[in-house]
Amino acid sequence: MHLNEERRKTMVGQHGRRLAYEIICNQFGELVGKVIQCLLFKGQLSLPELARFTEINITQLRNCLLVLVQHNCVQGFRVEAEGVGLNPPKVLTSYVSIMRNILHRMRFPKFLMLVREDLGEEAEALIEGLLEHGRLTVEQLIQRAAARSNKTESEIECSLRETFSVLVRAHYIERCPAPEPVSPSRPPPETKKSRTNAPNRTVENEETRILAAAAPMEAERFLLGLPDTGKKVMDEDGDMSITDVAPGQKRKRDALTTDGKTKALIESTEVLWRVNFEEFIRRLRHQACVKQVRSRLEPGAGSILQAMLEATRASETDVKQRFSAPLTMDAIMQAVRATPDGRTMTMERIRMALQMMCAESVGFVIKQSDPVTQYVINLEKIIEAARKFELEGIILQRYGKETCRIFRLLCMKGQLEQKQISDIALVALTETRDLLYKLLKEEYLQLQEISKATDHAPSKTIYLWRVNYPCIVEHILDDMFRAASNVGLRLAHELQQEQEVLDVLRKFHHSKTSKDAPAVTLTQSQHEQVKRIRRVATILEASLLKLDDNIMLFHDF
Amino acid sequence: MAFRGRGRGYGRGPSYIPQARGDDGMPVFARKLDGPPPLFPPVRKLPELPDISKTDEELITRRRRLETFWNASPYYIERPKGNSSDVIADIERYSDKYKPNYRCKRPPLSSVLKLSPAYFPAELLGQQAERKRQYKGTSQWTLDTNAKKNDLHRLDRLETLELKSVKNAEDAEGKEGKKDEGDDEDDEELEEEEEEEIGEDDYAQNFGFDDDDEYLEEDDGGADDEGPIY
Repeated sequence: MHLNEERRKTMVGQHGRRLAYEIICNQFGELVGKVIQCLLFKGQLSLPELARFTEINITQLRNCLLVLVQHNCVQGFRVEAEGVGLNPPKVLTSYVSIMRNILHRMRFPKFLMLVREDLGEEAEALIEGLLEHGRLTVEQLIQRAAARSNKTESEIECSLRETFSVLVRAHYIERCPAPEPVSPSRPPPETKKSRTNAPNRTVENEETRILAAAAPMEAERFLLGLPDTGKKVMDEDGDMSITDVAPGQKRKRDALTTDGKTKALIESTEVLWRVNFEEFIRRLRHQACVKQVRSRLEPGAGSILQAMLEATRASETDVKQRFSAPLTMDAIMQAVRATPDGRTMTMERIRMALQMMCAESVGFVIKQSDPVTQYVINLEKIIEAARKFELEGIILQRYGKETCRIFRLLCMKGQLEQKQISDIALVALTETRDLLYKLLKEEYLQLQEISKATDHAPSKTIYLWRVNYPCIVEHILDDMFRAASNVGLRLAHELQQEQEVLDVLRKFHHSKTSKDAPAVTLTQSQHEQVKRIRRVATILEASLLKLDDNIMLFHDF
Repeated sequence: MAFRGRGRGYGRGPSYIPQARGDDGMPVFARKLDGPPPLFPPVRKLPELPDISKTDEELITRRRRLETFWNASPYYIERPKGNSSDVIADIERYSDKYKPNYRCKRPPLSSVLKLSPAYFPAELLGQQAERKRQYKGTSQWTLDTNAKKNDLHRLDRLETLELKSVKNAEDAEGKEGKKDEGDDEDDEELEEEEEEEIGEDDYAQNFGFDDDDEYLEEDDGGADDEGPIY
């Protein structure tokens, strides 16, 4: 059992990494895929090491790394290597892959829809530009918008900058991290034991430390540094100078001097901005919480929770935050009344809904009584409830009603013997045995032996069945990564199979658009094939997006 | 060995076959297998196909748009053309004319990346900074992705054209189709569809194609952006 657990822990990483590799291959080509594969499976590497493993020539390799850094999939950092013998210590640049960001690439359409609902089409267009290019300056964004809409830059600049400021203030966009931070000192070298037990954990910790070192300071991360509209002063030369930095943002460096002013002006044109994935995941997480409460309790409670989450969103520091900030009753009332759904809700109604959510069996909201009555949302509990619901759904679909009943029973009761399970769950003994062993084989359950005699004779041993929840979560996540990878491969395969028909289709369209091309027709069977591939592609892509919802639930929320 | 010594254990007869018993004491019989189990056992209960809602369609459109952009962008690093290693891949084919050939139309990487040590590790910039070309033009923002000509977009367009032609032909209550080019095209398409008695194989595809028309046209196989040839 112990060996299986270890093997499973290493396997979880593998399928996720494979999926990440396939995403990059599809979007940026084989060469970039090869580079990221090396980084994902071998950990942090320097440029010469990468050249040796990937066998790509050095110019191409540099281009691949540039693309990966540009799209926030790889972070470079400086490492000091100890000098060998008489040689002085060298400073090397190493690269580490950011798997989380690569997996986020599957969700870009969802981010776009989120921004569109929240802030409108122009904001969506800006975010689309940043997602397409990875990192851009404000000037580049304006150029892009002008090129796409066939207008001059001066026409759209004003409204674009306005939308941009709104996006930064809402934390959808952030400044890019440093290109080459110095890596923080490594922890003491691992012993052989610790290395076999948790190789993934160490890698993830390293990645987190390096990213934390690279990230800009919290005060600077959303620092606009742009001149406020209306406060620009035109000099005699016609140059613009900044009279005021956006209020409320203290700089930790020297106060603005004349050099500082030009420096700030240069900075405003040269600062690279990128999409802040954390904020999007946070919003999607809140949406998932609201959905869970709506389906589990009632729609009204869902709206109230939504209002509460919006009010406390600004104070969240971590994506996987366990508890929200506390809210008083008045604050909740105010927040609810501001929403379109909650405008007509009475005080009583809100109080009742809160009571329902605070109930012990549910535990979504915690009531704190000192010094003032305040309510804290237990986000962790809501997400856990969502995960359990999903898990039970999977077992129900795969193995049937009885198995689901047994599983839920074990989740509630902890450890039980086979006979007890059969009695309480009202399932025949033989069937119980079959189902239990089936679940054991798929690693949903664990078996604990307690023997009364020293010789471990089966007749004198008690066998206890139990559910190990964290193990199951990892196992399910692994399955989902593999499923997503399979769906992607299947889509590519189907398009490949129908390549001939698609070529004919291309010729057909070419003949329609250009006058001198020969007329091409599609036969009946080709029509059918085209219909089929269209249906298949839509279904596969929709399935992938739905599967991604669950991956987010188990991995990112 | 089992029968040596008296009184130790109970000897069974020579025809005794040990019988496995399950938890409840009943004997357990082995299943008879004929041949190895199948590699892909038949799935009795297939899950239902998902319903595609409007939100799903919007998400899918955005996904396709992004993917087409990345495939045509300077960020897609292609394998360099080999010298003589891969003969089959390097043969120019007629169908290559219609394939989305982004190789010659891709803007260089330096046109979109800000190559400065403030943004990228210094060792990646070594040669790039020297070779940076002054790239004028806005084509890196509006790439010639031929988004409308992407395979999956084409499928959508064909579907709508089809629906329109069905609607016209039957003259019945219609399914909704997107407004597209005029009715002339639909009639034309109908006529073309009726001319399909020719057959379904290669002859149909080559029908009406006159080789001599394109004899003197130059093939645009990648000579555009590569500058003067010495």
